[in-house]
Amino acid sequence: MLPIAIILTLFAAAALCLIFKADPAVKLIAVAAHAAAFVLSLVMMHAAAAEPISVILGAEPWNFYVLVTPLDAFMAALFTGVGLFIVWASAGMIGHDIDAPRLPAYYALMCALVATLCGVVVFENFVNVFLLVEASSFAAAGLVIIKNKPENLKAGLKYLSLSILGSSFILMGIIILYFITDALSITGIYASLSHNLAGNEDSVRNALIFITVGTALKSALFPLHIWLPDAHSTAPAPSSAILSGLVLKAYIFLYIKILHKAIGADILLNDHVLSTILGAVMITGATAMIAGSVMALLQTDIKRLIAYSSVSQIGYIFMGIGMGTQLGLFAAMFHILAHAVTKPVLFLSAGSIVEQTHNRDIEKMSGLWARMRVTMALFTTGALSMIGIPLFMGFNSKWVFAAGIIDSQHYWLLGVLAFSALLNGSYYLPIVFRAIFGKFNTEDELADQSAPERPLKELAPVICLASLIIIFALFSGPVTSYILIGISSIW
Amino acid sequence: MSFWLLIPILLPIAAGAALPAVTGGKRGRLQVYVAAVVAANTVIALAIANAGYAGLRVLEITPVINLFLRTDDLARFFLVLASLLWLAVTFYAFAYIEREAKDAAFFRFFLMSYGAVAGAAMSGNLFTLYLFYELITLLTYPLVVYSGTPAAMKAGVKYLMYSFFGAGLALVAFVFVAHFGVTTDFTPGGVLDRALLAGNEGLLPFMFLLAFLGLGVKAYIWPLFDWVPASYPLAPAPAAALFSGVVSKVAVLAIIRTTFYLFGADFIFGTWVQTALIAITMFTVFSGSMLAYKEKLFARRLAYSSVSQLSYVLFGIILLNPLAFLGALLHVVFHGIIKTALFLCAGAVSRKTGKTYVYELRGIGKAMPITMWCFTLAALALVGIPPTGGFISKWHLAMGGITSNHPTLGFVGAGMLMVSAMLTAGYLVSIFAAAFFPGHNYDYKKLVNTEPGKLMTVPLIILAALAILPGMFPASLIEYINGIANVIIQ
Repeated sequence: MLPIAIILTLFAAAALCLIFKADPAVKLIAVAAHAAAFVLSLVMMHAAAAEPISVILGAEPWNFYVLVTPLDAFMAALFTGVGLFIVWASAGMIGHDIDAPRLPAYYALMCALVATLCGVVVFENFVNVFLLVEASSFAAAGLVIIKNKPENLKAGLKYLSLSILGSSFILMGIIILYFITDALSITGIYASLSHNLAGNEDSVRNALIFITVGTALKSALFPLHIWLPDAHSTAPAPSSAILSGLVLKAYIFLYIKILHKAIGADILLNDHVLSTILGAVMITGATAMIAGSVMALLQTDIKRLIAYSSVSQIGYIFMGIGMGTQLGLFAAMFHILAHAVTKPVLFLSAGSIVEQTHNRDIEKMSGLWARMRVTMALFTTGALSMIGIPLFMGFNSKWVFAAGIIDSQHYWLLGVLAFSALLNGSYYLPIVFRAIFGKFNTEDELADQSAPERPLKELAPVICLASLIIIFALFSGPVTSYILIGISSIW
Repeated sequence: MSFWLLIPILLPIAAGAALPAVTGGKRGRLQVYVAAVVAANTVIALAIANAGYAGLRVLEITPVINLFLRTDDLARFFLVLASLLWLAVTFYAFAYIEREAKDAAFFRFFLMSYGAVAGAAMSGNLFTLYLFYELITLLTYPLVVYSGTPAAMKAGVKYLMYSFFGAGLALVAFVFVAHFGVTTDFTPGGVLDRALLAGNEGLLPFMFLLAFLGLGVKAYIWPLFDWVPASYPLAPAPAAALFSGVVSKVAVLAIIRTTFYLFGADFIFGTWVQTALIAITMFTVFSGSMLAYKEKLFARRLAYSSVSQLSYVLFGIILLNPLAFLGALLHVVFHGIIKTALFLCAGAVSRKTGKTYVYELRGIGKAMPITMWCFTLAALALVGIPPTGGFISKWHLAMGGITSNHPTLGFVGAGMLMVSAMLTAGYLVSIFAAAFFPGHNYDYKKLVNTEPGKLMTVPLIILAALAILPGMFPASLIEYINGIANVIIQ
């Protein structure tokens, strides 16, 4: 019952936020619920490693079906853990962006969003999954719109409509699979496909195309990323952090499950059309790595820059998935973790800079280091990880990607990987160096504004996340072996 | 566990980080502090080198990703060279950075870079080397942009981009080595496993090319040396001296480690990549000299000269024979000393007189005799006039070329070294000739003595002496290097 408990805890917290409404109470409720859910997820990780956890109510195909394998538990722990830090960070940061009357709704949406994300990964029946996917889209769009500015409304609606379009593509794929297999659960589809495939190859191919396009739209895979920069850059900083760090990953993980649990590697890799689709995903991912970075290079708004960087990072993950090897999938999963930990650090520290200096233009951030040491140190940690400097998590990620590429023998991707790392450096480092050394060459443009450092109390959650970047880099052993166990259980 | 191997890395980094707090912006205190740290670290480094082999593995994350320091013969060689040059430049820097108000920022990163260089010198496996290589890029960047002018900032970005691009190329090759190797600890003769490699042999030369060119960015290899002329004239002289004297040698060390300790000379010997790299290094030798010859900005002429000279070393490495290797490592020592001296001389001239172009230097020898005498001695050594150090190293390089497995290319290469030596003479002798013999129409009445103080001249004299003397008594150095060469080249 652990997975149900996690989801219910968070949903209950969302309801309580709406009931109590008082300012400190909603913060406490949201943080406590995330902490509880995180602890439960860790317990679930431990339990799932021993034996998959399943909860079934009713009979196939229209039933309520939860099945938690190690990878699912890992994702749930990732969502609740990173979610905990982001909600904690909201307590100090969100007040600048949102009027007091909307605070309860904000925390309720946060709790509900993490609950639905956990649901997306733990549920096995596609009907259940699809409901939660839709719910998560609404909650996520709500977090963009809640700032209540015209541009937020516009960005939020764009996000919501494209996200729902993506969901309907996924739904279309699931319906096709249902017609072939008469099953709606992932395991059911797999079991049925293994003897139903003959004669239905074309339908399975169509289904996979629909699901791939839908996922690409929802997870902002280039060139379907068009909603992401607006939504992520206009949202309040903690919302951006959760949208970029977590929400995108839930749909990617669902896609991985469809590929390897529902269809299965044996069918996927042996059918030439299916494996071509997979190859196209890899190539699109590689294109996204470069295109996202090039677009980031052109930005002067720090939050847009970080948003475009997400487009590039999502490309890494899809490239890993598209390789169609266990090592490639491992690299993708590891990068999901790395990006989920790193990107919130960047968004939250950038949000802190924007709030304290009332400036989003990176050209005007000269000499910021002297004023906001801790915030800039946090941003630098995130940036170095994104570039892939050793001792930061991004390096481990880059390494496993390169190993995956060599293993799958798509050697040209090595060039993409190297070039992409160079591009990452060329848009992140100038911000850092301008902040440190910029006062040498320009007039201190922020000199007349008071831009004090944020109190450490408010930065504490970001500091925790930033230390995780280094801790996971140095002690990646347990995580690595857990992910490998998870992959071997579904492959 | 030899934890003391961490001291020469952590001491300067910690001392650099604490510098503003300790010195409190007081100039006298800053000089004492920096001098004490560098001197102490140099003594420790020499003690480590003297203590013989030691190894230390910390932070074992995975078999590939862990921090492994060790002091084999090659590591001790580079550690001693880097430490001595760093010490010499430190005192000079006190005099050079005098006028600036931001000296704390300079010395802070000056110290921290020392730690990163020491780490790179002692690195015992691929990950450690890569870590310190990236760290050197990040920590030396502030030295490049020190003057803070828009041009310097632009040059700094160029430096960063080239370095990261190079590191990216090298990383790709490193992953290849980790994938097809039995270990990533540096092992004489290489780590690649023929059984694992079966079917991927065609990839190997290509990967080696990536590693060589990628690491070669900091050793100024064509076509990736464009950042050098952009950034050196804008960096303060002590920084330029250290870049050319020490940091580029770390790149050489990285290339030696990659060639002989990871890929293994056997795998490279006779392949197309060896031929290609011999040709590339020869071309770099020639084009660097030509660019230096026609360059009028003093510091940039020296920078182009470094481009050419570093490729002498790379040429010696890629020939993959003991004689050329001996020449390469000798040239690492002599070029390190000589080019440090030359950059410091150029810096002394521009600091004291404001003259930065070579045609402004007429008669400067009369105004700054000690500086220009040191310049002359170092320049002669770089040209390779016997019995200076440069002669010994170039002799072995040329012999190595002639006796190599590529006789034709080797002969052409040896010839290229001669041509380049002529050009070197052309672009350096013209400077000191005009400096000491300004011609009959020179107005001696305007002459003002601009000789710098002892903080500048004493390091210069020592470096100039070192450029000459070991060339006369090279036996023990040759013996030491032959010891290394015998282990790694069969």
